[in-house]
Amino acid sequence: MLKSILYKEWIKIRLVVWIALGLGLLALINIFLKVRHDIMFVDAANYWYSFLFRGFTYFSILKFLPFVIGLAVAIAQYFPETVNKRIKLTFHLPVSENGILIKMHAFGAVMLLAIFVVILGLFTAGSAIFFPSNIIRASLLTMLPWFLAGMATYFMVALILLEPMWIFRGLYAAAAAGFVTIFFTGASIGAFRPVLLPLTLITLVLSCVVLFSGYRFRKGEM
Amino acid sequence: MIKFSRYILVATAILVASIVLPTLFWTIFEKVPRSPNIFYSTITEDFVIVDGSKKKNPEGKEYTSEEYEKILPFMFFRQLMADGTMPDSINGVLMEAPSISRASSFYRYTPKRLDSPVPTLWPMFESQSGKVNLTMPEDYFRIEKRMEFIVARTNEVNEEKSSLFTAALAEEGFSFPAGIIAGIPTTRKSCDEGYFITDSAGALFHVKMIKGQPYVVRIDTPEELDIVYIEAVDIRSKEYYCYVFTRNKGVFVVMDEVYDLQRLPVDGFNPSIHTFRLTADLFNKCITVMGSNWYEAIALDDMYNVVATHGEEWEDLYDRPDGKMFASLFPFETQMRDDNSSFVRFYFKPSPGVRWLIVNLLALIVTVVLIIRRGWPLRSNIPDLIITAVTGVYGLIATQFFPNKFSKVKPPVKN
Amino acid sequence: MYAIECKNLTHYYGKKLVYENLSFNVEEGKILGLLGKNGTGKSTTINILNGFLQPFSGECLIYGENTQTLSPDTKRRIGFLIEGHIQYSFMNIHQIEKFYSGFYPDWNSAPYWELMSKLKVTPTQKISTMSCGQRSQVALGLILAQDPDLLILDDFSMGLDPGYRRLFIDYMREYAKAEHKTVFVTSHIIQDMERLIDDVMIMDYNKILAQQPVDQFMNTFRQFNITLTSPEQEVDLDGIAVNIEKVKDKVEFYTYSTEDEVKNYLTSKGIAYNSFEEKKMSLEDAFIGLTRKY
Repeated sequence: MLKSILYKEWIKIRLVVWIALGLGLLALINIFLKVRHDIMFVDAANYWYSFLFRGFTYFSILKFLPFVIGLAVAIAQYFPETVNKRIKLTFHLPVSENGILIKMHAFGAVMLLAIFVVILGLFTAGSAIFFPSNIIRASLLTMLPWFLAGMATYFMVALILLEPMWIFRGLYAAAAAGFVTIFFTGASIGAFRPVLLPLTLITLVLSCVVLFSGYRFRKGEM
Repeated sequence: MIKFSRYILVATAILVASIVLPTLFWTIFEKVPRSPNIFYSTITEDFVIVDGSKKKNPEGKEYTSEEYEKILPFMFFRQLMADGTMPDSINGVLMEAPSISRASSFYRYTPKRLDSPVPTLWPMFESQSGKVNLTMPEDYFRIEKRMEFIVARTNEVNEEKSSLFTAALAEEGFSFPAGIIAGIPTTRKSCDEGYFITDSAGALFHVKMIKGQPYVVRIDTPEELDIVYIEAVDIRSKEYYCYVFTRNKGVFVVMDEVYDLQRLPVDGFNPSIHTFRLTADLFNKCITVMGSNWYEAIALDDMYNVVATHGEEWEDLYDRPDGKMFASLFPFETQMRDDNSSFVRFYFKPSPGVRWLIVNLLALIVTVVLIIRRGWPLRSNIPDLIITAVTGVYGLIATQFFPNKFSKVKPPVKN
Repeated sequence: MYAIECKNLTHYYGKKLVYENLSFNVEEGKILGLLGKNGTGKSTTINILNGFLQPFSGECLIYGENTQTLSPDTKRRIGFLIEGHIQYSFMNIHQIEKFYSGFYPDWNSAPYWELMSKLKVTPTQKISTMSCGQRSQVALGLILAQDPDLLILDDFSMGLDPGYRRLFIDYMREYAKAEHKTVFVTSHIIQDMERLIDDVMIMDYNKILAQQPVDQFMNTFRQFNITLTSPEQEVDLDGIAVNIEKVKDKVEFYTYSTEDEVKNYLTSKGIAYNSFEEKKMSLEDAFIGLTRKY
């Protein structure tokens, strides 16, 4: 049964997953080709200097990529369910309604996480060629909020899409926009360090809010 | 689980509302806060307060622009010399441009410096290269389990140099890893004095590189100082190397070459919330310690003796009309950024007083009316009522954005 | 034994009453047709039956379980055809069969593939690119493969060509009767419906107009056409007719009364007529007679 559930979710999002990985890879190739080029032109010491003391982030191209990927996965997964209220079919399956929603959602979240882990892993590996651990750590610390934003976007967009009433979709979208903006608060390298844990916890508990829309749908909010 | 998911959403919406609404409020209503500049005049032997476009003495007597320039001759000596009104000598000292500019310096500390992400890699310059210009080194150092130099081009540790410096530090009793590392990591300075570094035990060291060899000095501190921030300065008078800020034992400067710690007479200075300013000229130093609604100015002679003090206090944010209005509308606000920090955090700021209770009560009444109009029983909406009573406007918005549809609805009244 | 029992359903949309104290049962093995014009509450009833809507008051039981909290085991016994033959149209016919088969231990794919073999679709063709008729066959095939005890078909005839509709009805009737299935079907297109259903429930705004076996309904609900002697004659048939239309001297009315009762009533009211004729009705005629044309 779980296999069937995951099979359907995979059919919906597989294209987006491959595109996301492709985009991530392209972005990383772009980053490291540029780093290599710039280091040849301005000398490695100066390049490090611009990161350490000028706040230059060589990875800023990645800033909105996790957000876009989170948005795309959520849409790919939940938009087909909302067309013609197709989610009714899902809720009619001989399994617990919340249970199947949780499984669908967990699958999407895990796939998203996997994409992010691949991107961050390759980023770390690539950075290790050019930079010491200090710079890599500071870079990851700076990028982490962006990737958390991707997860939060996924959770909130799922909530918005499954909500049956348009007016509430709008209200949820307003709240979601306000929340996701937090992750993009303009800040210097590493400035998010104290808030990473609370933000991670909030994002984690937001993973279950899709149940709220699912419940509203099942109780006939139309 | 589903009810729980709703409260998560409500809490998130309250958080977002408590960030967005106050931002909107301040954008519309905030007045520019007072932030005077204070100087000490050797001519009048008194402070000069620059407040907006007004220049005055502590008694409130206003100065014209000409008067203002005349009583601060070191600040405006170029203008005065051009006008031909610069005195030939002051206090028996001949006035010459090089000595005036050599003695002049300005330094400003804000609490942001203390609470900011810091680099963990630093360039170690060659202090005595024999060349006029400093050159950027090809490696950067870090001090963790040992002192390591990493060559940028290869991204590899220079073992030889690392061992050399680690040994030199160890010889002076440095306990790894380093705490604060302070230096001027740029070639645009008059000369290089390396770094002032605290070790894990809190001891202060001066580390630089002379002809490729480590130069390490352990700086004796008069007592156990809880050093929280060090800033190396490149002042032309070469009077001192750096400022040392302690948690609550005051501010020091480390005197050039002799490594004496000179305490600056600023009592009650809290580096986490107060601003510190120091302007120096040929005869005096003027220190201003400033809080959000007060300042204390201290004038020193060249031997660091206090010659004058002056303080002022004014309306704090929440005593001003805009702040009062805010405190009557919102019970608190959340900010992601703060004036006293470069870090992003959830800065929770409760509004002083209880004037916001009225708006909270109104929000509560609106919530009750909405619940009754929808035919929901009040009893099953008690959590919403409590949330609105406590968080006011934010709670009202949040509970309406994510309505409580779990309560059984009463049938509408039939016509 | 009832497959479906609905008791005292009352529901509002906002302040608009959909229906009040609606009760009905569906016996096991029977095919019940819930007929009504658009907007009379057919979909509301279906949504309550499937647990997608909580009624204001009252409850529906399917195999003894409240539809708001159906257990997976009971849901396994229910086949559900959504209005418009909605399916996961991002899948092709192989993917969707693979998907559903995982949920039903007694999955029998033979009838599904039998239906699919008649469709002129390619194996990789997504359902979204199929015609409405083809999609209805996919949806039907999936339900047949699921082999449920109770089939709930919401407005299955919508968008179907007459051929497909006839095919669907005949197939469904034969299948239901052979396998002793219970069927609950709604429709606003009445044509061909008498070929399918055992019992009829006709719904109008806020109320049920008829609820009985379709044979009984067809035998007792009649249409009479009379020609009046004088076109100026006032005709008051409130005592017997449920619906009356008068054009000059022609009067057309619908009633549950017999020919004799009607004639007696006309005489007692002093209504003179030249011709009297009972008209043979199809279910569709009867439906229109009962619910009026507008």
